[in-house]
Amino acid sequence: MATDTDTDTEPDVADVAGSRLDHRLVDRLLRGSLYTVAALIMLFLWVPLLIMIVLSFADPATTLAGVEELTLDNYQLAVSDENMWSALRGSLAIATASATIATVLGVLASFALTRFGYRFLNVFRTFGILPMIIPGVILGVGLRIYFREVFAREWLGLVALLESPTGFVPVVLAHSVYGLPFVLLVVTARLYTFDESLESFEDFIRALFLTKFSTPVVTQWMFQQIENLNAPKLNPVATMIVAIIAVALAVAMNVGNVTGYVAGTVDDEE
Amino acid sequence: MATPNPDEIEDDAARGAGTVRARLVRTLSRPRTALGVTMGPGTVWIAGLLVAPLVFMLAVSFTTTNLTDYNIIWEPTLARFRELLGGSVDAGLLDGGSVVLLEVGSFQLRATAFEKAILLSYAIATVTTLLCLALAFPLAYLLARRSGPLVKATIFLMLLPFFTMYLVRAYSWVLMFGSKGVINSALGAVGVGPLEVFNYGVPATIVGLTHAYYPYMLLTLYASMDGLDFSLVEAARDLGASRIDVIRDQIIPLTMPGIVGGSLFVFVPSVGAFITPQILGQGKVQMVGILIERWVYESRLSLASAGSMFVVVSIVAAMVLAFRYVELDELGGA
Amino acid sequence: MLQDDNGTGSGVSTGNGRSRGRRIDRRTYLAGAGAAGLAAAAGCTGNGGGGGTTINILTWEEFREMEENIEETLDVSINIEASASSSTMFQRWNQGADEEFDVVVPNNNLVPRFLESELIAPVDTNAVTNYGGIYDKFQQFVDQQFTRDGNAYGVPIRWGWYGYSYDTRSVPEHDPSYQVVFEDDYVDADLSGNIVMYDEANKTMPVAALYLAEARDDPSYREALEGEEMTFSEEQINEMQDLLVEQKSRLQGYISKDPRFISGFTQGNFLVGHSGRNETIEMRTSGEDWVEFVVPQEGAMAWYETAVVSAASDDTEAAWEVVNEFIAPENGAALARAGFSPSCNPDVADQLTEEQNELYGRISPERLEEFIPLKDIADDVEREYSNAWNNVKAA
Repeated sequence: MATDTDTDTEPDVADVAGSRLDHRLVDRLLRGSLYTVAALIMLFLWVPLLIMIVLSFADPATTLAGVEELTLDNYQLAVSDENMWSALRGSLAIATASATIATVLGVLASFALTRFGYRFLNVFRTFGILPMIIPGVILGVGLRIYFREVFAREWLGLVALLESPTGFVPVVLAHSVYGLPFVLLVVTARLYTFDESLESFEDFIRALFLTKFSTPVVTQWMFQQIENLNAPKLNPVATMIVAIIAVALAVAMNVGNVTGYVAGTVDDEE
Repeated sequence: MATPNPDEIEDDAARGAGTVRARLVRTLSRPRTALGVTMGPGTVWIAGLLVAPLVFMLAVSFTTTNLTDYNIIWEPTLARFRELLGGSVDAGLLDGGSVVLLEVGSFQLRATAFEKAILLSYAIATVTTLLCLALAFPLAYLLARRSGPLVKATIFLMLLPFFTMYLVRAYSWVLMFGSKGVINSALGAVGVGPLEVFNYGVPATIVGLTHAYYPYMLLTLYASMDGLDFSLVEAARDLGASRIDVIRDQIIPLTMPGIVGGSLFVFVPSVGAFITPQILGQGKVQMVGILIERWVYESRLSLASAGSMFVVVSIVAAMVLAFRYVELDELGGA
Repeated sequence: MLQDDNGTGSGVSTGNGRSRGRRIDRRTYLAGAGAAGLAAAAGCTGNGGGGGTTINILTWEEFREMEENIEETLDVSINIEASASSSTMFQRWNQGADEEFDVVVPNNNLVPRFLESELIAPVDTNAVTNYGGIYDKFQQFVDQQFTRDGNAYGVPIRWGWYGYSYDTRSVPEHDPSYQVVFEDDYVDADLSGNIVMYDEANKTMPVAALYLAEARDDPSYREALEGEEMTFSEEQINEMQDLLVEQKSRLQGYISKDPRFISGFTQGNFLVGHSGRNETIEMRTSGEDWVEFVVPQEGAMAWYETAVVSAASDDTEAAWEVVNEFIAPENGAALARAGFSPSCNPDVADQLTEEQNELYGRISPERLEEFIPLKDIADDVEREYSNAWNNVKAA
């Protein structure tokens, strides 16, 4: 977290020569425009989501213009959708399994990467990071072709597991590969040094890592809903996800702080 | 670190030394065993699930897929790449079998569907990356310069949509765009619209992608700026450097790793995007991910592999160039 | 290549095109959910469960509507695994799933592939007593498309057709013709940017062909559609591509899913849409009475799903008995109601209300003559055909 305080940008008035007064004005203007930009960006990020949230209470649930009444019916509809729940369960299982695999493999490898100096470790590191620069669709296609041609034979009972791009096993495997670079980055950074300047970088990597593994959550179900534009069910589910993640994130950000204090790496947070 | 003797385990057993636990600890503390235990699983994973599929795909890209029974015919050929890039697979390809890429007056530049898709994907990804950069830089700077509850709240609000899943965010824009979508309805109500640009298509796709990947850029930039010593900036200002000078000479070079990293995180998934253009392009925006997906769907596996390899190679090449550029730039102190 | 109605829908589309979008909606949605997992599990173990015969079926979601009733009628137990695409059905069977399933219900154009790969058994005419009841036209299709050595290999179950629908509030009444989607001045309304076509080669390319057959007065375009498979020449494919590329600038877009089509249409995002009849029926059912669906004078493409039985089935007779129930009046009516699509057996209409009959019931045999069943593209121009569609989408 930043250690600067506001005074950095606000020169002490007493010291300022008259010629710098307009500087202060420009500073103010600049700062003002920065805040404006920030506010606009916030709007950009949030308006579509807010509209979705409003529509989750609306009937009919497709356009703002046509809203006749506010209701919880959409929520009832969504919650009573068995497919949604089974998709949710499946997605949680996928996220847990793939994150566990990636973490175990990544942590183990990071020990070696930071402890030994063998040359092939660099090769490993390069390949370990590779998933970050290969678009998901490409690796996904690669894995599908690979599974289909090399392993998937119906008599092995694998085809349903491996061929379907949305099956449990291929998705877990693909996500574990995708999560690996993030684990490697976080853990090796941790092990190399406890330099506090890495704090925010780690937070960031951790954030990326979490996102990677939150993506499969209800994805398949959502995908069908979106393809079929089933707004009445989709809006409430998406809204509930926003709410749940808001809570989880708030907790995570504060817990992160606590660990920072414990590790002695946070000194001037409020 | 002594080279471990593989016989030692048996020696240990012979001497009956220690408990199982002690032996385990000792075994694990030998470098080679330790290396095997720590690196083994990761290596197997990467070899089996990353390298092998990519190599397999590379091999398949030099084959032909029988379109009747969907089997791969393992005879090496370059035909798929020629097919992709408008070679001489069939005589009509460059005329009837291609699309207009560029038309100025009577001048016409034609390309295959794949070439156009690749160019379109790179163009969309570039615009998306630049947009993200332009929108994230000021905010990251602001966040890095300040601290306190407001910063925390801002980061929270920025991260939240980020965690809300790609699909939901893409979907939220479906409601916004369209000739009778939220934006155009609102514009219509105030008498300005509806505007074509807010219909589904390339602009909608770019907005969707920018929205989807913006937080990657913001976080990466923020992480690189947060470590900066802003007293340098202040010093430069005190010495009379203009703001533009400071940004050009101090801030940009110092945050270059963040800029490159963030661009990478935005650019790569944008090139491969296929859900966003599918949803927000209303079937009219054919990015390379969509095309490759369709080929897989049609079981034209060889062609899909060739297309994928082309994308991978071009991205890796772009990244190598980007990293080289950054290093040079940093050395030159520009 | 584009082997079924989903052939060109991008991999993104998990469904089977607009005509089946409602598979994942309504009652079937809830009913299917729990069963999906069970069926999937059961599917792997082959014949199991229950005391009597078990018939494993790979088919569309709405078929679950008939499950219970068939189980009671025939005293068999049925496992249905839902699939969203005919080509996936074929691929799975071709990779060995024919050992695991007894029945599969792909679209008609896929049946020749099952046949060529020797996956399926001839129809047991003693078991399928309702076969003689289905429309003569579909019996002709069977003769034409998948009869070998006098043996038919599939039983048509339900069907539908494609035309276009328009918003009568903005588009004046006119003689139904594809000209409306290809020519600027056919009707007195500004349709530029207000038209959608199917996001699927096997539905949109034939429309281009039917239009060109009339517009160029060249019946060879239509004839190419009428055989066992589509036999366009390369030049014809190029002409169709050019026509569709030229059309693209006038389009609002391409849509492949019913609900997206319906919500976009309802919202007013477009005024004319190439569509199946059932989308329109669903809209009218929910009160959008401004939608008019028409069959263009140039002709229309039709789809029909066809049940086939695995040659590796342990009990082909029982399997055909189950298929027979799919077109039995009571079950057929349940299926028709679930999918807004008429049964291939006209007798099913007796089980429907008058209103339902109007929407998806019996149709006079003469009208069937207008329809051309969807089919595969011939092998020799498959690559050109597929590339042409990619080029249209790229333009």
